[in-house]
Amino acid sequence: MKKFLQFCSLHFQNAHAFRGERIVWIIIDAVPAFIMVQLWAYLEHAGRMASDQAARLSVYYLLVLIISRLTASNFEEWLIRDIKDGAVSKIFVRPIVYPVFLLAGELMWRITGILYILPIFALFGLKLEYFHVLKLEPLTLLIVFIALILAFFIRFLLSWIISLTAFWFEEASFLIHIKWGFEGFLGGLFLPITFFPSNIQNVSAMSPFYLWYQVPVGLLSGSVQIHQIVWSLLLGCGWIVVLSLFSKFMWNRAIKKYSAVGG
Amino acid sequence: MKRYLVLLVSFLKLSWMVGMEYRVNFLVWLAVDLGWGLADLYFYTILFQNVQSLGRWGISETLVVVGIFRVLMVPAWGWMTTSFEQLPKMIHSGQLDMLMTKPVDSQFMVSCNKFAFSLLSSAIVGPTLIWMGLAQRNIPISVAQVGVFILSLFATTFLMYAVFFLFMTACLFTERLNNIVYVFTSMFDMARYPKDIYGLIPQRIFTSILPVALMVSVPADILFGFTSPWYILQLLGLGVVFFIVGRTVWLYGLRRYTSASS
Repeated sequence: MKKFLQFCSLHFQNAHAFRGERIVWIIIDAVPAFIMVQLWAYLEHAGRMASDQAARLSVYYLLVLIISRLTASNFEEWLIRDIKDGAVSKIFVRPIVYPVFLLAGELMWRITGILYILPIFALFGLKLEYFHVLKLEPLTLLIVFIALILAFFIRFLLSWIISLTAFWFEEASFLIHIKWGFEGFLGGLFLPITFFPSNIQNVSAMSPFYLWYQVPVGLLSGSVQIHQIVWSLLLGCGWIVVLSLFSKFMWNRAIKKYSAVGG
Repeated sequence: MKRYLVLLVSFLKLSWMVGMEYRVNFLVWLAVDLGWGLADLYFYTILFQNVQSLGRWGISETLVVVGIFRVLMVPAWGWMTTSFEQLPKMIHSGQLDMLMTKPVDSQFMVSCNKFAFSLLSSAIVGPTLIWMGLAQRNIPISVAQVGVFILSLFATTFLMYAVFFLFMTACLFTERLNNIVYVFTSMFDMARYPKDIYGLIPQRIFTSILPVALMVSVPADILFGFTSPWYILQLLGLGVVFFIVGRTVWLYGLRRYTSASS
């Protein structure tokens, strides 16, 4: 635990080292949400969408943006490159548990990321009356918090598993795109899952991606009740167990398989 | 000029060889790109089940627009992003000075050093979607319209390059900005929608200050006959302005660039 806290402290300092990059990440993430908010506002203005529906959809994309910043893990790209280039050799000679080191890093990046999210609200030009759709009761917020923690761990483990495939494949970065595709459609990043046919909605509900956005946004916007998402939370816990065991299995195999010259 | 053409061909050949080094990986990336094209199509199909039209665009016009977007993804990702993504790392690690010592224009070197051929799927999917949209629209298109449309694509590519390069020059003024390369590609997504969907102020910004909203809509509107072909001149004019500004900022940035060593 002491080591974990030291990792956190180290990453907390690192997270503030390149502030420009943090702001750029926010812009990159905010653009798709901005486009969708503009689209719903336009449809409302053109009389092709009810005001309440436009409000719900606009708030949906804003919440998705915030949740994405709070729970996402984006280390696969550089870790895959490091594994391929042999730059990971140094981690094998250090007395640290590498996944824990990574976890501390991701956790600190998410926590410090909150500071950077706040100014984005001003840029959205979202009507204040839109926020009436939010349900901010204490119990709802508590469940949302639990869902976010579960989502964070699922996302971390998926990124970790994708990175570990680099020990076996020369190029594994295409898996990141496949993950983005699933996140977009089954997670509801591109469009709310209710827009999709019922068979896709059913697949989404069983997938690990459902918990990422649909559960917290659904609860906050009041479109789902707490008793309706108990199953999703349990399923999320199940996914964490399965992904943890699988990643542990892969990691044990990977460190036995790995070889590098020089470094 | 000849020297630059020879260099460009060499870079293209080298990129092809690098791409072919791992053939399975290349094929997988072709499939991933194809997957994104199909995902685009599916996204709009679902969207149009809920809304009948977007601005002046119905489902057939949107098919054409998505097709044009996919075609423009080829230079945006296959050329510009692939070449530019090296730049922030080169600046951060001090490798840029090695490039500056070469007897070739530095802007050319950072702009055309690497290409990704896995975007070729988009070069097939894009025109197919355009053809499908036009066939669904059932309004004949003349050869002259097609010619003007192709010209507009070249003008758009020039504008895209000029804006993208201007974005990239920001790296020269910061310590590390590895992700700046994705800002343009993220903003380029705006081009997939008609400019009418944006509010008054964003519309002004994204058609003049940062003209991403014009990049797909102008070629599309020219093809549909919604807009005069003279709008190509607007794209070219904006491209020239952004190119000059980008070039000036680049040269200014290089003058103040320092490196410990490479």
